[in-house]
Amino acid sequence: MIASIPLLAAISACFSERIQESKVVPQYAVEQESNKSWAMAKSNPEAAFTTFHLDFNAFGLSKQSKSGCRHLLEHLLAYGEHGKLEFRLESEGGFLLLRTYRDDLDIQIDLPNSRWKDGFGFLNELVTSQAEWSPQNIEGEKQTIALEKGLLSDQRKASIAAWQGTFGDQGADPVGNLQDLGRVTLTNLSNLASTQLTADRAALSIVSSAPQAEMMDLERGFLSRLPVSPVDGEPNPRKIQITKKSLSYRGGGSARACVIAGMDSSSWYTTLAAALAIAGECKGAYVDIEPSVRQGVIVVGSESTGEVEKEIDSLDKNDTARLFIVGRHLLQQYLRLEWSGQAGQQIRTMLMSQGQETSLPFLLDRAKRMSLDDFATSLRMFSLENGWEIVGS
Amino acid sequence: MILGLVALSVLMRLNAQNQPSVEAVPSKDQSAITVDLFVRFRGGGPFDYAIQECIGKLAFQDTRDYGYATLRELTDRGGQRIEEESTPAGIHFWFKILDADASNVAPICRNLVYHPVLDDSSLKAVVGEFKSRRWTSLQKAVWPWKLPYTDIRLYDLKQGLARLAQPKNLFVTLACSGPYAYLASDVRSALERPTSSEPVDWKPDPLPFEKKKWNDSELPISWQGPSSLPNSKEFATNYLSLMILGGGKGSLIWQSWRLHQRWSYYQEADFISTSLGLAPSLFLFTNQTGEVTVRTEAIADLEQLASHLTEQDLARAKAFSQSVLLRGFGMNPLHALSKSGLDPLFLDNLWRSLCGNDPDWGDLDRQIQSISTAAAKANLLQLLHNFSSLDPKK
Repeated sequence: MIASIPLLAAISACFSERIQESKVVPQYAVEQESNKSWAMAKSNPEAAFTTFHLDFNAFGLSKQSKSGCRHLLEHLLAYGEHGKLEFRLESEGGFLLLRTYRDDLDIQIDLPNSRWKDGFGFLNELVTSQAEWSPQNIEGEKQTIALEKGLLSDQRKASIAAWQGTFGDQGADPVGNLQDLGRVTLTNLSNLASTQLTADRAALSIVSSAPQAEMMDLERGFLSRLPVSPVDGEPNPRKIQITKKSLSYRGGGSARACVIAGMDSSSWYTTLAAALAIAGECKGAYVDIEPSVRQGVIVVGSESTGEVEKEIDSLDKNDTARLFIVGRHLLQQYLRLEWSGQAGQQIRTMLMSQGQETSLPFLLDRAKRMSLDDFATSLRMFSLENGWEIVGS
Repeated sequence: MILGLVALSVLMRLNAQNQPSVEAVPSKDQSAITVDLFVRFRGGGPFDYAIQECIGKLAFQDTRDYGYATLRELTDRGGQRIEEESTPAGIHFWFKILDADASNVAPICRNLVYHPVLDDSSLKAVVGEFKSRRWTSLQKAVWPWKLPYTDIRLYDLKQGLARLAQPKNLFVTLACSGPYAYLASDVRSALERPTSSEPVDWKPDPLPFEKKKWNDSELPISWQGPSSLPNSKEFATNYLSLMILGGGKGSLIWQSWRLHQRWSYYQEADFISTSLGLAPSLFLFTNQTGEVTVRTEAIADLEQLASHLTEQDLARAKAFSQSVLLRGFGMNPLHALSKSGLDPLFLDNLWRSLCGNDPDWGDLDRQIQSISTAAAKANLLQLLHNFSSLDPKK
């Protein structure tokens, strides 16, 4: 599954729980292992089930693997050692979900609390076994990816066009180019697995009703068995290669996009707040980003062509103060929604695999400290002068 | 005297039938109130559905006392902007409002139901919007019918509103903290006096539903079985059948349509709502050509697998179903009932509107766990037979 983080929810829906982090809320234990992997665990007596996230960053891999190779690897991991891994997991009342991002692979396993320890066996099978990577299964998954590509939403297509237009091959969508994908071999996949599924790229988190110390112990054991990669996995910055102010995609709607800094920069918050404020003014609008420590692209779009552009181009100085309040509020709502509960565990593990530790109070504090001037600067980034348009056809 | 008591009890029953159903459930959120309002549609033809959809959209855009801008501001402050959707079972609104704005809850509900602004220019604009909107694959599958929006006149809207906006069709569930429990009674009072009586001469549009023809290549292929009520015996067995068919990646449609046949990247087995209840449905999403071949073979392939259903298949479906119902896993076959997903307030409203009770997931799970392999297999094969014979594209 190729994923981005849709923020439409943050604008128009879904703030179903206002979760306040306080002293009574269970906290994560976080530690880095000697092989550079990260272990995180949170014991929550109210957890309805146990969730594992095992993430591996993908820094430096685009040069070493063909387009779509990481995505194909993700599809094949689910086969496990004897096939039917998902069937066996679901027979225990569990569920498996894998997602490929530009900078990350995320493996999620949910299990009933009473079976939480079984999660390690399933994870181990996922990352170590290539027994089912037969030519037939590889070709079959290439076909499935072709089908997946044919069903991308307009939002996703706009986002792909924006990333590709901004960073060229460095912004390529991980779903993959079908021609390149057609040439991927078992050897390519095995090499990629041995490069990516390694300790120095990994972060593992568990949220369960189980005792925290026991979870951490078992995590340490699991992570210590991961191979260590000799490859440099540092996050090199993506280079902006934009040559056109107007990009296009096949589909409906239109969007504006601009560059967004990595999450360690304060401008990440102001840019996201500006995007949310703009989208909040338009019916049916969405915001699309991929949280990462690397510089990326942020897209504000709508299914109605020209809706978002009209809003941006009609902004004047008098709107800035009002939108600042709206944007800061929406940003805080979004952070509360996405950085708590299950979604929060996923993003936190993903960022941990990229070497950044973060927490909701820290993020909220940065959101609160945003200044009007910085916000105004970010708002201007979406003008046609600074950003670019993506138009469906 | 006895006669008098009997008469009083009949009168009370009649009153109860004409009362809105309003419930408040406790919420952890100490600062905001969540409101889910459902206006039950009790059946009709394509023209009646079209009217219902227009009324919902017009109410969302403007009401006598609350315009959209005011509603948006109030509900943005609450943390959930007001949303509206028309489902085959009725019109659905949901929003959140700050405790400090609690006095608006009852009047907003009354305005949305009884005082939408209906005029020719708004009607024209809404019909224009409907014609140009973009549909997601799931929307196309859940709502495949062509509706005659352009035939609607203002008179039809007003008649339609008089029919829909009756207390017996209104279901509200509020989630609020203790001090605001009184709101349920406020909302009930606000909704119990209709602005017009139900038209006595209304007859449903007798024309049959026709399938839409989509211009793009992205086609959902769908099958729909007969509806059942959530408190009926069939519902638990249908739920289990949908889990065997499409719940999780060990399910039959994943194994057959995705892994073996490579017909689709994603496929679903879901309940969809109808005016009669909840209908089990299958969806195959693809942009590939050769739809006709897939249609003929898709169900036959499943029938073949279902005829060899094993104890392990059933055990997987039951275990997975339990995780979905009791632990809140995704992949719930009820997720397609509303854009609000599996919002428990909406499900409470829908269940009450269909069978008079709130859902009891524990009881549903107990029923599912007690279904024998023979019964599960028989129901599954019957359902597949129904899918095949009720194929709406035939």
